[in-house]
Amino acid sequence: MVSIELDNVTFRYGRRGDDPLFAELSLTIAAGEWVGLVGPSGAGKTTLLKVMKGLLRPEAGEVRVNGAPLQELNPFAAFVFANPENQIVSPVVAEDVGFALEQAGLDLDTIRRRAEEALCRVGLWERARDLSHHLSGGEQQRLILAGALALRARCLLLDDPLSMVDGHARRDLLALLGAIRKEDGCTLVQTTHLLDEVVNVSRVVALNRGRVVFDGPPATFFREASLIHDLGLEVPSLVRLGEELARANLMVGTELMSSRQLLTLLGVEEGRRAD
Amino acid sequence: MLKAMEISHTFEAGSTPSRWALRRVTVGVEAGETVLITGPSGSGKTTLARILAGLERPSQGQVQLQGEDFYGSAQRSTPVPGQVAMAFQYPERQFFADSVWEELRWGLHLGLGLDDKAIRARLVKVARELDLPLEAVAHRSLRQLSSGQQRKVALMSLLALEPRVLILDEPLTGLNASERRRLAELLRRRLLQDRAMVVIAHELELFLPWATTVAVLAAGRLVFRGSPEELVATGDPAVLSAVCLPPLIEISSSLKRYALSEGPVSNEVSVVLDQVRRVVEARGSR
Repeated sequence: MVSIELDNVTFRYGRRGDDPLFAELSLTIAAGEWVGLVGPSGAGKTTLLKVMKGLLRPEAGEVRVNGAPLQELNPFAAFVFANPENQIVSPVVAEDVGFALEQAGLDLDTIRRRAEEALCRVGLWERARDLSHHLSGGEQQRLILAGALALRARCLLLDDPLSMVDGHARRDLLALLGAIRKEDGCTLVQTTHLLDEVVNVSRVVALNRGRVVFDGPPATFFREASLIHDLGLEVPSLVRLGEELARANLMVGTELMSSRQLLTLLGVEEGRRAD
Repeated sequence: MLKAMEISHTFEAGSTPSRWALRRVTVGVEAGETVLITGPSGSGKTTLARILAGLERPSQGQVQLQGEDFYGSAQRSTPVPGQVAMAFQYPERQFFADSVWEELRWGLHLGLGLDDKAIRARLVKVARELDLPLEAVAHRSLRQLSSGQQRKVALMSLLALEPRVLILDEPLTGLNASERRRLAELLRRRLLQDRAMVVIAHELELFLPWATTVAVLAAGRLVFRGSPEELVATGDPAVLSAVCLPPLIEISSSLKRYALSEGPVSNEVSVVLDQVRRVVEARGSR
């Protein structure tokens, strides 16, 4: 279990006189949380993730991982960069997943087993022997995620990890992230531009102009219409429909997660009509 | 105007490939039209776009630009500069210049051999098309722009070439909701006119209302080609599993298909709420 604390952290790009990206920002991420980090472009989401990994050092304040000040790179966290092409190191898919494990000195059997398992989990096993650069953008993002899973990292720092993944696969991967958190006790911090990716997170943190402007559960966040608008974000239409249905007492006690779920409740099943 | 005919493609060497990235795909676009190509990741969308753009010679089949087979007859492997332009996913990741102006000037100067006066005239025109305040940003570093503005600069560098066909691979990826809406609206309003456009997208919400044709790929094969209205009306499971319809459209089109609602197929919360309410009430009264 991994917790991360940012304690009065100040960070700026450029010179001392320039405005800091954030000043004296404090944020505690408890072990096992799944945090959706949102905000407009340029708000500092990626920078904050890099600070949590130790890739960037704040000029003031402290970063603590499991209570200990972070001196070097965060050893518990795997980072998934927004651009998968920057992170793919091996020409063959399965080898890419195994690369970090090999660096960690694991034996070949373990590497093979873990690579297979991770590729299966992200739905990429049938591409294991293909060339990495023949994968589509969405598949490359899944490949990088598989690499992080194979490492069995106890914390995943995910920078817009599903931006190129298509709708159906996106749903599967969001479910996978939920499972990783539940079963493996993994701490997840994920940035995104699309709020349907934060429907299932345990906590939404919104950044704007260097400040945390919201911190709470997604259901509460979705009610902050004007804040969401200011952040350049949009409440997913399915969430709005779910709220309206609840208001009209049409689906009491059920949160609407997918269109398929509603259709099933209404008796429409894939390929047939149940009555 | 631009037509891919019976395209098959493989990345494997040899005459009997075991895996086809594309298999016998035919798709075309005319001036003033937008063809939306969709399908799961890995279904061959980007490969098809690269072939249409003249960037990848297909293993089999022809690509015709205004009737001319541009991979076959001529020795050149790419069409005339400026005729077909393609924006890759995250085009801003290909920026290399220090300033917006240098980035935009490059292609027009080297690619088309224009002088600075002609370059300025073209850029002012496309900046207006894209609502980008060119004077204000011209000498700024590309890194100082928002992601939405960076995306516009990347599109500007293509539009300034005045292509007849514009191919956009996931043009909205990585942008936030308001930037997405704004850019999709600009594409619809300003860019079509006499151009042909091919848009690759897995999120259809902002394109479905105005695309001329939708082509759906699954594992390299074309499983659907038709109008957006035909797409939402289809009950073909092979198509539905390859397409990710916007959730409200999926709900209202399913209800209509199963005769639980008379329609319309809609993306509006209030309309779909009403349709769901009727289904629930009809059930309760029985």
